[in-house]
Amino acid sequence: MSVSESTALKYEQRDPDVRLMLRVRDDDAVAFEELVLRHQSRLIAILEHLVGSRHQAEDLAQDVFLRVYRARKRYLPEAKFSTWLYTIANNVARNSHRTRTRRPEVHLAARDSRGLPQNPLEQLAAASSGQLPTRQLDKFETVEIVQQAVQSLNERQRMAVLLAKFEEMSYSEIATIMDMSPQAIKSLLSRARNKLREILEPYLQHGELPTREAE
Amino acid sequence: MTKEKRTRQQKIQAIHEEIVAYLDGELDVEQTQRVEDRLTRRPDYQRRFQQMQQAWDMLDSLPEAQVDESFSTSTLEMVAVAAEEKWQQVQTSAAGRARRTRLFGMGLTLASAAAGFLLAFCWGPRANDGWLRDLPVIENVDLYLHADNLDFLQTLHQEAIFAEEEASHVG
Repeated sequence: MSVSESTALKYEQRDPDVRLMLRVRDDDAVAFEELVLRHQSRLIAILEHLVGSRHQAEDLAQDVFLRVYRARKRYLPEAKFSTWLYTIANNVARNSHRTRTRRPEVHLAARDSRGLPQNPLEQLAAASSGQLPTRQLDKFETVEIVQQAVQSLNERQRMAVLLAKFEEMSYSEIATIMDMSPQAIKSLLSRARNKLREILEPYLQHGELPTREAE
Repeated sequence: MTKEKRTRQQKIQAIHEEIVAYLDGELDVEQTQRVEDRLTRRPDYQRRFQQMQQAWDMLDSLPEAQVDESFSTSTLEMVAVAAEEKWQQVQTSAAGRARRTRLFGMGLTLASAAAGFLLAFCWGPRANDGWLRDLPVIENVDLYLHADNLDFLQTLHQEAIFAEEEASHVG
């Protein structure tokens, strides 16, 4: 694909990550380290929501960064760096999803980075034993419900929602990443957000916990 | 599903798309104005708008991923190992290419030498060419010493006048 010089220059001037990536293309290891540090948290967060496992999200994020490095010589600034990064992430996540559906794996109860249990039942048990204050439990409950709502979306809806919400991407950028038309992204996001509304609305209005969908 | 129900669902879907696109800042000026008019005039539209916005805002409660230093360290190490492997692969490939080039050069030299030899052998001037050309004369040198006219001797030979003498001479 050819990229006009004006397009490349535009992205180089506007996006500091593009400038870093152009240095990575010239084998600048320091620039690559900076790119990893700038994007690792958000990338892992999105992958974790996509695959539902922190450990696997970290493995996938490393795979994404490795692919970025391997593709550095072919890099052309034809869009924002994050658009390119999440296009790779989307492909990696989709491949991983295909592998997982062929070979289901057993997830062990995980603990978050603060050492707290992520399973709500474990949290309730911890709260009843006095380990957690009530206010914190409310927060965990909200997080759990929102996570449950996000997990109820299908994979494409989830990806589009996460990119729109946490990367503040336009429909056009999400369309590029997911290889769909902006109009299709508009419909996808509309259905996804309406589904989130349907799940979260009873909790927001009356504090009712949503019922778990069959997994 | 009845046609009426389907039309109603499509209408609701269109309203959702419009609200979501408005919240995402994806509408042009005219469409934005239309949404804002509806928000002031229609309570049901306003309620749905608020529900959508609240549900969207709830996603902010999702915790940010806390990444410790070991992640970036191990990622950079992994990339360094991959780069090292790639470099070695390139080196091995370059060495193999150089070896193949040398062997090809040697082969080409040998082939050229063989071709040259064959060309010289087939078409080049040779020291024995004169002898070969004169071979019929050399073989019949005795006859030429005794006879001036070879055609006359051949005529005698064809008529087998001295056939018996020749046979006894050979035997």
